[in-house]
Amino acid sequence: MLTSTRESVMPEDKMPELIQMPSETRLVLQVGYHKRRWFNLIQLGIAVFLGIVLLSMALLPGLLSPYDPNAISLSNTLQAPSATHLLGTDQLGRDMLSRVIWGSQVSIFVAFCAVVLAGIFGTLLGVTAGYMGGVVDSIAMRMADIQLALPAVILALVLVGAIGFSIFNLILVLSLANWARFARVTRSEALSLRQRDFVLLAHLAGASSMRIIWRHIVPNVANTFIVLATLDVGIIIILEATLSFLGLGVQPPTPSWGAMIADGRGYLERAWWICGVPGLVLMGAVLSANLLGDALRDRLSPSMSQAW
Amino acid sequence: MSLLLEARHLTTMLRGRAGTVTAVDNVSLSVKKGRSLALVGESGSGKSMTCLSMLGLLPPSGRLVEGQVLFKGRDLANMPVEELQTIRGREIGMILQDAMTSLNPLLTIGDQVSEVFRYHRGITDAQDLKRLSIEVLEKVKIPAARERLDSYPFQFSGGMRQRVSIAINIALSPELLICDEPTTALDVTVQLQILRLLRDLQHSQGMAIVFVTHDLHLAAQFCDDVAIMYAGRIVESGPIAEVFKKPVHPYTVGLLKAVPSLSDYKNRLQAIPGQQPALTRLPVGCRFAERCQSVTSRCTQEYPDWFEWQGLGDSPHRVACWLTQERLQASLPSNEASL
Amino acid sequence: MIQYILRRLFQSGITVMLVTVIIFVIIRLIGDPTHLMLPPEATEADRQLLREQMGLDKSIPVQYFNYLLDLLQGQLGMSYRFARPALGVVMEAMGPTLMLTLAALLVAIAIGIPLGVAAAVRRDSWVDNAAKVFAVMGQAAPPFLFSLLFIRLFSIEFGWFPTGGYGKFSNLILPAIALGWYSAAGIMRLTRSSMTEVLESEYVKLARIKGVPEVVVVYKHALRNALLPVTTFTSLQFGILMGGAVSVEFVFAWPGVGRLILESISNLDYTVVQAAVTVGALIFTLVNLLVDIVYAYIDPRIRYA
Repeated sequence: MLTSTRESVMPEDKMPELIQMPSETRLVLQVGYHKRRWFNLIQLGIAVFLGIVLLSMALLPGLLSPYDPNAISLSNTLQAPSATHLLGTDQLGRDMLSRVIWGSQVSIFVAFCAVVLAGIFGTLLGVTAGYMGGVVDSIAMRMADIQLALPAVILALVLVGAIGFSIFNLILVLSLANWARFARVTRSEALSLRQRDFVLLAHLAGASSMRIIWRHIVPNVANTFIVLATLDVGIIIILEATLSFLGLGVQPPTPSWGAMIADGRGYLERAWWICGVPGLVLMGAVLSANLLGDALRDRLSPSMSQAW
Repeated sequence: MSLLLEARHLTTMLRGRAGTVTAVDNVSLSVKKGRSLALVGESGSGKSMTCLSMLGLLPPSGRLVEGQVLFKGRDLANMPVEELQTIRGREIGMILQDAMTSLNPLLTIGDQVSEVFRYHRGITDAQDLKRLSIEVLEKVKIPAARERLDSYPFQFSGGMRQRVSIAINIALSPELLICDEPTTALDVTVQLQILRLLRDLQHSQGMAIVFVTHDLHLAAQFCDDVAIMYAGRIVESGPIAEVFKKPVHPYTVGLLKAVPSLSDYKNRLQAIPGQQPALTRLPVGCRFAERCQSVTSRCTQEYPDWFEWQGLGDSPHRVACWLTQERLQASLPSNEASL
Repeated sequence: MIQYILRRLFQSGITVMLVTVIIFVIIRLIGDPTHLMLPPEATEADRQLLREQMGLDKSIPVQYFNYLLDLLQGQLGMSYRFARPALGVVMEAMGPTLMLTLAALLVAIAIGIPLGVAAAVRRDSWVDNAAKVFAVMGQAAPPFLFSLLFIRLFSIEFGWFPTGGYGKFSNLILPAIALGWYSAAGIMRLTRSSMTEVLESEYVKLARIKGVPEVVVVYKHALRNALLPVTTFTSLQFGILMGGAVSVEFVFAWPGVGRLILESISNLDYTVVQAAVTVGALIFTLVNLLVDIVYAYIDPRIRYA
C-alpha cells in the first residue's frame, strides 16, 4: 500500500510551504550586500550634493558671494574663519568665501569647455579610427601615442608658454593635452561594435561609412563618453589648477583656485586657510566629479575597467 | 552498501542584482561507494551550484544557509576551512566545466599537477614530484608527458586541458569525483574520449562519481543513478534504468520525450512548452505546475511531498508530485509499494 | 617574443620621431628668438645676421632636418640663460627628477598593491571600506596641494622634515609621498578590482578544489595573474608622475627637470625647454618599452607565442 512517506533516509524532514528562509540567515546574507549599497548611496549623495553646491557657485556667484572678491581691506588681513568672514580673509583682507565662489566660475567653466572639446574631438577621431581601421587607424593612434607620451602638465606648460595666456588658449591647451584618452577608449568600443550585426546590416544595405559612424556607432558609445567625460572633469580641474598655481594658467585679476593657493603659499604658517580654503573646494569639486563618474560607470558602462 | 556522500537539505542563497534567490532549495542526494549519480537538469536548475555548495566553493555572493554534507560521516558544510582543505583534492575531486579557463595561465602544467602531491603528501623533492606528475599525466593518456611538464596551458587544446584537470583530480585516488558537465565545452569526438577515460578510471580506482549534465544520453550511458533537478529542487530520483524507462514526474516525461533519437528522426521534437520559472519569482506550490499538463489545484497550492517506492533497481525511485500518488496508488500492484 | 620586442621598438622609434616634430613645431610657434637673445638696441641687420648664423632663415623642413641631425649627435642647442649646451643643463636636472619619480613610484606601489590585495581578499570589511575612502580621497588631490599640506603639517607643525631643498634622505620623503599619493590610489583600485576578478576565476576555484592552502591560492595563484594589468598601468603612471613632479619640485625647491622647465619658460630659455621635453619624452617612451618587455616576459602566452 502506497503511503506518503518522507524521505526514508532522513529522520526529521522539513516541509517548507512557502519560499521563505529563516529571517536570520537572510539577514546575514544580505547585510554584506546592503552595507555595500549603503556605501555607494552615500558616495552618490555626497557627489550630487557637492556638485549642486559647486554648480550654484559657478552659475550664480553674485548671488551667493557675501562680499566683493576683490575688495581690499587692509585692516582685516589674515583673519581666521569667523562669523563675519566664514572662511577667513587673505593677506589683502579679501573675503575667502567670496573669492572661492567667484573662482569657481572660471575653473568650472574652463574645465567643462575643455572636457567637451577634448571629448568630442577625441571620440570622433577614435570612433572613426576604430571603424575604418587601416591607415586612418594607424595615423590616429600614432597621434594619440604622441599626446600620451608627453605628460599632460608638461605639454600644457609648453603650449601655454608658446601661444600665450588667455582663457581661450587655456581651454585649447587643456583639450590638446587630454583628448587621447577619449580616442583610445572609443576606438576599442568602435572596434567591437563594428562586428555587431546591426552595423554589418547597415553596411550591406549600402550606407556610407560616415553615415554608419554617425547613426550607429556614435550613439552606442554615448554611455562610455558620458562616463569618461565626467571622470575627465576632475582631471581637467586639477590640471587647470596646477597650471594656475604655477603661474601659467588663468592670469590675475581673474580669480582661480590654483592662483589663490599660489598666493597663499607664503602665509602657510600664519594663515593656512588662504591655501586651505581653495584647496578644499578644489578637492570637493574633483571628488564630486570622480564619485559621479564612478556611479555613472556602474550604471551605464560596467564593462569599463577599474570599477569597484 | 554504505553511503559515501550524503547531502541533506542543502539550501544555497545567491545575491545578485535582481535580488536574493534560492539557487539550491532543500536538495538532498546521496552517492554510494563506487557508484555514479547523474545530476540532470536545464541551465539554471541549480546543478552546478549544488556541487559547489557541497564543497564549499561558492562565490562570495553565495552562501550555504542550511544543510549538511556528510562525507564518510563528517559534515563538510560545518567544517573549518583547514580541515576541508585536506579533504578537497585528496578524497574528493571536482572537474569544472570550462576546460579552457580552469588551469592557471601563468603556471606550468608540471607545477599545477605537482601541487596536489606537495600539499597533501608533503613531498618536496623535485625529482619525486616530477616522477609522480608524469605518472598521473600518463594515466590520462597525455602523450610526451615528460616534455609537457614545462609547458603552459595555452599550449594545450581544450581536450588536453580537461585531461590535465582530470589528472590533477584523480592523482591521489579520491573516493569521490564530481564532474560538472566535463564534456559540454568540447567537440563530440573529444567528448567520447574523455568519457571513456573517466569510465576506465572509475573502474580501475573504484571512484564514485557525481556527473552533472543536461545530456540525457550521456547520463544513461554513464551512470547508475539519476537525480533530476528543476528550478532549484530535485523532482525525481532513482536508478537510471528505472527512471528513464518508467519516468513518473511530468517534467521527466517531457524531458525524455524531447530528447532527439537517431532512429526517430522523422517526427518533430516535442519540446516542453514554457520556461523554467525565474528564481526571483518562484510559485508557492509545485514549480513545474504552470507547464504541467496534468496539473491539479493542489499542485499550485502545496509543494508535493516525496513519494518513494521500490522499482527495478536496488535503490528506491522517488518523486515529488501530487498526481503520482493517485496514479501510482491506482496502477501499482501492492508488492511494489513501500511504507 | 623577439618579434614582439622588435615591433615595439619600431613603434617607439616612430613615436619619438613624431614627438620631436611636434616639439619642433611648438617651439617655432613661440616666434623669433632673436628678439630675446640680443640687447634691445640691436638693429634689424644684427638680428638678420644672428638668424643666418642660427640657421633660422632657411625653410622649415630644412630647419627641421638640421635640428634632427643635431639631435642625433646629441646637440640640443645652447641654453640662452646658462650659456651652456642645453643637453648638459637638462641632464643635470634629470638626476633629481628621476630620483623623485622613482621614489614616488615606489611609494605608490608599496601602498597601493598591499592595500588593494587586502581589500580584495576581505571584501566589504573595514579594510575594504578604508581602502575605498583612501582611493577616493587620493584621486581628488593634486600633488601641489598635497605638497603644501604636508609642508604645513609635517614641516611647520611637527617639524619632522625640512620644508624643501635637496641633498639628504629626509628631503626626499615628503615630496615622494606627496607625488606618489595620487598614483597609489589608482594602483590600489586597479589591484583590488583585478584581484577580485581573479579570485572568482575558474583556475582559482580549481586550486581550492585541489586543496591548496588559501595563502598559497592568494599569493601564488591569484596575485600573479592579478598583477598583470597593474604592470601596464604602472608604466602609465610614470608619465603622470613626471607631470606631477613639476609642481612638487616647484613647491619643495627640488632641483629637477620640472622646475627647470618652469623657470626656462619664464626666462624664455626655449632651447632648454625643447631639450628637456625631448629628453623627457624619450625617457618616458623608453620606460614604457621596458615595462612592455617585462610584461611580455612574465606572461608566457606572449613569451612563447
